[in-house]
Amino acid sequence: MTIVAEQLSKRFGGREVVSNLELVVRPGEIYGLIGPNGAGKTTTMRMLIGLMRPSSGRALICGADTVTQASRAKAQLGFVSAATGLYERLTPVQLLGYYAELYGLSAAQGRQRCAALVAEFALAPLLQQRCGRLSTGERQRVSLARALVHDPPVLVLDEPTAGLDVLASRTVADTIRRLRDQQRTILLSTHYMTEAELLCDRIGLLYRGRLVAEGSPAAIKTRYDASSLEQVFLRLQDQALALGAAAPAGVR
Amino acid sequence: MEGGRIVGVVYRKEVLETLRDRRTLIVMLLLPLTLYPLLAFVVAQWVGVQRASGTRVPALSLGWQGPAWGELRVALGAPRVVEVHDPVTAARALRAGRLDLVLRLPDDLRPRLARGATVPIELYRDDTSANSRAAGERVRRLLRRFDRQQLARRLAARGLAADFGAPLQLRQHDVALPGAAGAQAISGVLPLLIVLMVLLGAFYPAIDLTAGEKERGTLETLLSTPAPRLALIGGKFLVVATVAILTGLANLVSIGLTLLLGFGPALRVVGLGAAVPWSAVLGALAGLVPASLFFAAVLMAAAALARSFKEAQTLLTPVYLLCVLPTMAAQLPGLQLGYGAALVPGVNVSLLMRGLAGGAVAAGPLLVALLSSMGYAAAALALAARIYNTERLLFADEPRVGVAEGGARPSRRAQPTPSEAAVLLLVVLALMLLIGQPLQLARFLPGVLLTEWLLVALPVLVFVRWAGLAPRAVLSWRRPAVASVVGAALAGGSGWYLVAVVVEQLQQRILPIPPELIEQLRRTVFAAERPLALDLLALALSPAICEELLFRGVLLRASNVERRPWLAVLLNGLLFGAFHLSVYRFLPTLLLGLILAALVVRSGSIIVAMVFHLANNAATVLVARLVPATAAASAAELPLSLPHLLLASAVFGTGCWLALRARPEAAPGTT
Repeated sequence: MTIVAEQLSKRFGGREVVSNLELVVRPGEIYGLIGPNGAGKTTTMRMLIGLMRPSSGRALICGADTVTQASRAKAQLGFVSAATGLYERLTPVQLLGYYAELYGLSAAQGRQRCAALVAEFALAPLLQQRCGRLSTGERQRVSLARALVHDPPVLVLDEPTAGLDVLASRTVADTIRRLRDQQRTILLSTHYMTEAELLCDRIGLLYRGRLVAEGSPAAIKTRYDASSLEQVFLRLQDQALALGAAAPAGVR
Repeated sequence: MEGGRIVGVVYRKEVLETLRDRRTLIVMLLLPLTLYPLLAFVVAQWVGVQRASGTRVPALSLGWQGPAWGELRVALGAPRVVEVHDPVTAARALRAGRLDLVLRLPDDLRPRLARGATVPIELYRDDTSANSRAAGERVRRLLRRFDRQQLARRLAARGLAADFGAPLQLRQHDVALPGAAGAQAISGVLPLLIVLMVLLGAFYPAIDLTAGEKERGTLETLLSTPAPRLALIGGKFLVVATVAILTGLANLVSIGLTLLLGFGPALRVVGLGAAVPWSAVLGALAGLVPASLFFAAVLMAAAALARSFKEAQTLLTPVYLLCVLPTMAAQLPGLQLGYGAALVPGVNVSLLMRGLAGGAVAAGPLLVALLSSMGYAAAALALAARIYNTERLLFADEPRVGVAEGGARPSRRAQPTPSEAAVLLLVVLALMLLIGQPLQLARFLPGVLLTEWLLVALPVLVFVRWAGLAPRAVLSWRRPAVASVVGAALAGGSGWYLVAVVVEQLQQRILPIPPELIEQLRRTVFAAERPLALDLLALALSPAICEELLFRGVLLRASNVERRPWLAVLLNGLLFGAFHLSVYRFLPTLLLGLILAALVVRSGSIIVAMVFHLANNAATVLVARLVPATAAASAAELPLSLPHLLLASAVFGTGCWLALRARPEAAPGTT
């Protein structure tokens, strides 16, 4: 098991943004965290990758606690933020080189990994350009390459297809599948239900900080007698609203 | 080791990115390299033009009152003369600019001349007019020459030599090397200039590398790596400091080159040549590194607080000005780098540069200044690193504490932000200085009443409403325990005596109040002819309510009183002392502010502070009436009596014990 969340909660002031989250993501699996804006997806991810301290509970990456063994946990994961996180005035190779150094790769290892990633993500035509001049799709490819520079077993992707056109989305989705086939553990967040249905092996539906449904897309649809995840989501939301924002009974 | 390697990695990457940023390059290199040659060029041109036009003497428009004296008119260059008849009309014409000068001669001019007596000449000018000043200077020169001619004539008539009237002859010689005066002037302003430029150079990278990274979303990916945060901050800090140092260097080089090669000769042509002030340049060079490290750390710590580029710019502008202030203070004549000044941040590095320029810095203060500025830089850096560990400030999109969930209307805040409170304080101060003080000077008591209610209390209430704050919570408005009120009344009613005999008498020794001020206070503040009730209303009740709303209400709440109560109390006391705008009242009002803030922190109610403030001021007013002409103006004039002191101390102690005993409950309205 490479990503584990145990009773993970986060409070800001008096407000609970993530509540007692239990989660397990295995190698060779794409797990989609889905939910509306403000459901707590990004906060959950930030706790899982050690950017935020949980108010209670804990998160483990390859067995390393993200708070007490933060460096070990971080060394095992690659992260792509919703904002792609590229330095506008660096070229893709400079960017990859910088992160290779931050992850402690030697110069030779760094060069080797960069060459491999340039080939894998077809970055050769972009090498002379600065990241600020790349298109959104190109930026996302560079971002994914950057997250893989240290060849991590775990990938955490926050809204990896947000703002991409159909073609670019498909390229990114194909890449994610390929990475899954390399036996990496992948956790991604999205609010595109159709994409989650097509891409994810399992999904967790987050609503107001609580995991209200979990399983394979097909199993969830069967359980709720719905033709799509979107329908499931709308049904669950109605149920939650009727119960006054508490978790719908019996949905886990 | 790993930390050091990461610092190097971050440093190299940030330098590369920074050097690719046009804005930084402009401020760091282009601005200094063009500014000084351009400045020298403009000055040379301007002075040249001025000199050229200076050779043409402008026509003088002279008012003349008194009998004609043709010889004098010729001596003055036969200017256009307008007859004036009285000084009032003359003054009016001067002020209106119709005349440059007015000469007034006595009616008995000729008899005086005939008997060899002195002829009094009155010269009227308007010193606010540049024309009048220049004309005055010229006419005085011509008059002195004419006077010497007249004297020589009189001496000759009596058969005496022309130099009979001049027993001494003074000749002056300036031994300064050519350009030394200009060099001296430049070395005077060099530290200030370099600090300004260092700040300017560090300003943009400090924002770009902290708040800019947050805004662009690159910070998240950076922090998701195993690199230690302190090392990341360290690398970034070194880049900001490097840019600051390079900016300072570029400025020094540009100034040097301008003086040596570029427009230095052009300036010399017009008589303004300045040699390169080498000692000042070396002094500035030596001080450049500590100054850059210190200011870079301060700017970075401030910028790290911001969530976006724009917010950082807003935040850094006052910080920039705050950094400039001590540097300007270091320009004060007579101020030198001693052990005390070496500990004052900002002042120390500026004085260090100035001192090194003059070659007169003792080793001890120099070392202290270097160590203390490094210490302050380290502290600011530690603060920045701490901010990088504060989630609330790290992620721009996380919800702020206290904001209600979903689309619901945000609940009213119980705490204003420090910047909001600072704006309120500045507005109140401006209102007091611009409106309150003139009002009080015109009519004292109504002025005080209007100031307290309209310029202090009203802005506070408007602010609370405008900022969407919960009034009861922000103003700590809640019913206090009876014991607290009784205690506050006792302590307030007796505390004034302790302040009077102990603090003010101590102050009289350190910083005596000028007798004129005492007399003025006697006449205005404690005038016996007014009804006592009115005095109590204006001088006791109104400040007790209005000033408390501002200081122990909004300002105390804004200073994070729940997390660091004693720091908030200290800050409150300092602000209250400074607010009274008098060095003589600073110490007593500082103490009063400290006690009042502590009362609110302990009791949780502003009413306790109001009661203390009321009792304190009312006691002062009453004593002024009952013991006229002693405590009235300066309590320091009260005789020190041991029984009185013991009694006051006992009552004050009991009152404080009662007032501070009650513990606050949970703050009202906090969500």
